[in-house]
Amino acid sequence: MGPGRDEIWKGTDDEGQASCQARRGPLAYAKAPPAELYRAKDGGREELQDKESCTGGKEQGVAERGREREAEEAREEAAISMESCLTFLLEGAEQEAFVAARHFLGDHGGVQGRKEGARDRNEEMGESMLGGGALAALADERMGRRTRPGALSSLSPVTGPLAGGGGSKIGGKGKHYQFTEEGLQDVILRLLRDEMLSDEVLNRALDMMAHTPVAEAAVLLNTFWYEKIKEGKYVEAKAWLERALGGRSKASLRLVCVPINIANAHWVLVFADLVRNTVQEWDPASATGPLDPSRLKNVKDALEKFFGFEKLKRPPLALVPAPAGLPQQPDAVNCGVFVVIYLIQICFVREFTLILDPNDWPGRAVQDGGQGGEGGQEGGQTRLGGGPVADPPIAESARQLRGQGIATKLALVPPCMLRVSENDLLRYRLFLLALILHSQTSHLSRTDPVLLSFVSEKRRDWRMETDSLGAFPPTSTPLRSEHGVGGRGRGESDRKDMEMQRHLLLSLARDKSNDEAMQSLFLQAAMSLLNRFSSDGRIVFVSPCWYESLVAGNIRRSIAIMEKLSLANVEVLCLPIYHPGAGGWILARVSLLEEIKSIYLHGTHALGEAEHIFPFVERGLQALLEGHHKLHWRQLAQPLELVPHAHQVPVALVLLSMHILRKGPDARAPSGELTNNWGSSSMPGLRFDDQHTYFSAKVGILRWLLRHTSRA
Amino acid sequence: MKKTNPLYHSSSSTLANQARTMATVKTDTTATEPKSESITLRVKDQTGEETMFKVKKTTKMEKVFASYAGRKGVNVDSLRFLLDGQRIEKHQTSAELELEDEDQIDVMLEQLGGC
Repeated sequence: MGPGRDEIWKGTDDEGQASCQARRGPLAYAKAPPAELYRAKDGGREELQDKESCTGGKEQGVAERGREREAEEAREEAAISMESCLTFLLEGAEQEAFVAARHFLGDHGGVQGRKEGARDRNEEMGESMLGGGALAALADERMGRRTRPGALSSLSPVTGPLAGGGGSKIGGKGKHYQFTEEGLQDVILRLLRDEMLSDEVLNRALDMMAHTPVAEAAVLLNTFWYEKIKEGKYVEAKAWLERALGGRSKASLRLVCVPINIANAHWVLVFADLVRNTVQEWDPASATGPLDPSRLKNVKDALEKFFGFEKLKRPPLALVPAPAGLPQQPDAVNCGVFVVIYLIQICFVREFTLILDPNDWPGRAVQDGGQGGEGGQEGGQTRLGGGPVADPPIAESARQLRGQGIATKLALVPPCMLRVSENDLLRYRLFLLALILHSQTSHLSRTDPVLLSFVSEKRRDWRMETDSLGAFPPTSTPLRSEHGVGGRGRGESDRKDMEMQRHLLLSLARDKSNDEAMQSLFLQAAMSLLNRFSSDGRIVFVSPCWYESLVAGNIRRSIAIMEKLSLANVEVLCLPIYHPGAGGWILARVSLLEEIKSIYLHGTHALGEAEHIFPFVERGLQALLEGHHKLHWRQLAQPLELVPHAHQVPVALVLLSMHILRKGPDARAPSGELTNNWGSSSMPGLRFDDQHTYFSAKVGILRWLLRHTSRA
Repeated sequence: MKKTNPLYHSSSSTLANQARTMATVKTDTTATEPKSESITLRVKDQTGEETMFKVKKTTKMEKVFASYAGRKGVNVDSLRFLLDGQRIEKHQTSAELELEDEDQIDVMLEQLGGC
């Protein structure tokens, strides 16, 4: 490998030998895989080395011609892989996320594989990277208890056997922090409204990401770590770092991310790349680099001390500027979102970006030459202010990289920054919300298992849709109002749908009276989702628009709504109805099972006025069920338990619908009779008069809606 | 509620978990169950000021949080209590957290950022 490095020097350094000497260190480290650095100390790292040289060999032939097309394809592939990875993550399928992440962080599977389905490819990759046994072990691990990076890394070729069993005892038993109700409410509202993000949001996002196998070679510190550093409390900061390491070896680390809060007004991300021996700051509000290099310097010093750079005779971390094209916030509220985007960028697609990152080239990565504090700071400033040094031609450097056995195909890929448009910000906010809600299980346990089963159910079928993946985070939802707006352009309609989803979730999240239109929208979404869960079609959920159009005299429209549903097997119809006279929202449950068909009304009030509902429902249904048995309607009214506030009724109706779905159309009471009572007695643990239940139901439904409406 | 140490200079609290500022005062006022083992926790804020809490191992941390926030006159929701950088949850107890005598809990202020 020595000659390769020298070549780079000849090719790139046109500034004279003196500076060459000064920068030799960082260059060598920047281009050498970490295996080399620590092989003497760590036998386990050799695997990595093998893997990388292997990659190099395989890719030899691909090369020069068609480079741009290649790059474009690779870029797309990277994007798709990241999407699948994050989607898996969101779905709670960590194993798949791991495999998907491996797919683009590690070996790259060759060009042939690209045309196949992402799923096959990922699995293939998983097999080849981990070996079948390891994958199985990984699955077992998942079955047992929640895995942590430490535990996972013992299976990965990157960290080899280093992690050992040490990972399991630190880090809060692999559990995520559970918010209090107030805390969670605040987080939800912050995300849904365009508000500044608090440490809670960022730390929970970091926590979730740190628990993914993707971050196995990374430490994602929380937002308070830098506070310790700033105060000069190195001993405590060190203890935190040790704990975040969770038993992993220091040598296995490639990345340390330090999110920093500035003056309670701004978020930036500082990270140390221990492979390339650099530290940089990505600031959502400043593309030109940090105005205040002291942050970089502080982090650098602390990490060098922690990792024992001096003892290892390792050259100090080089301060480098943020790469060109770093996405910047367009406003004054979204820097927190951008820090998360950066984290995704760094943790998930980092290998793509940084290898060919022009800023990462030796010609530009000026070493922080000073030994003392002031010297270092000066070094940083000089570099940050200094003009760019000529980058070596890409092809040339790629060749040299290949010579060193570093992922060569990647070397052909130009820097691949996530592109963030204004639309995406809301997407990321929704994604963050989904991510955070995903970790909040304690609130769900307060409601009964039915909600839990709905919320935690994984949509296995989504992988079939991988080919049609849109932009990530998932393209928003088909929550178009059935009142129909039709004929919009795609970008525009995306935007509108997303806004609608936001308003929908927001109306659910905040504790205020909602307007009836918004509640109707919420119920539309919920009913159409419930239909997806009703696999045999015996229970059918109808949009509230059905009754609305009936009342409005629009019979044709109500028929059209019914026609869209598959009613071949229908035994029970659930119809949400808005009827102000009967206290707002009512769920009409129409049972077609018995000889005598029945309508049951579930509402929160005495339903005295509900009589008016029956004629409409009957008329609507008779038109629909023409040719069936003659209908004999038995009219019953059963009030739900009192829901504390009117705005909570739609949530109660959705819960009730879930229960009906779970119980099945022919649910029977112990006496053998068909169960007609869907009140509290048949729903243990669900008390609609209880604020806490309501809150947890709200969180559960939010999570459920987010997950399942986020992709058509 | 006797003062056993001249260093004690904080206003007295009615809560069972007596808070003492800048002094490791140990009184027997909180020992309602002599069998239950109690420990002293140091809650350290960002300025380095430490507040001592003598708690039973089975006491939920929620009580400590509320007591601390009450002493400082801030909303408990704006405080973050951390043990070695990990958030402590309300319902956890010292025993669950494997806290020992004189262990330090960091308290941090809420952080916000937007622009």
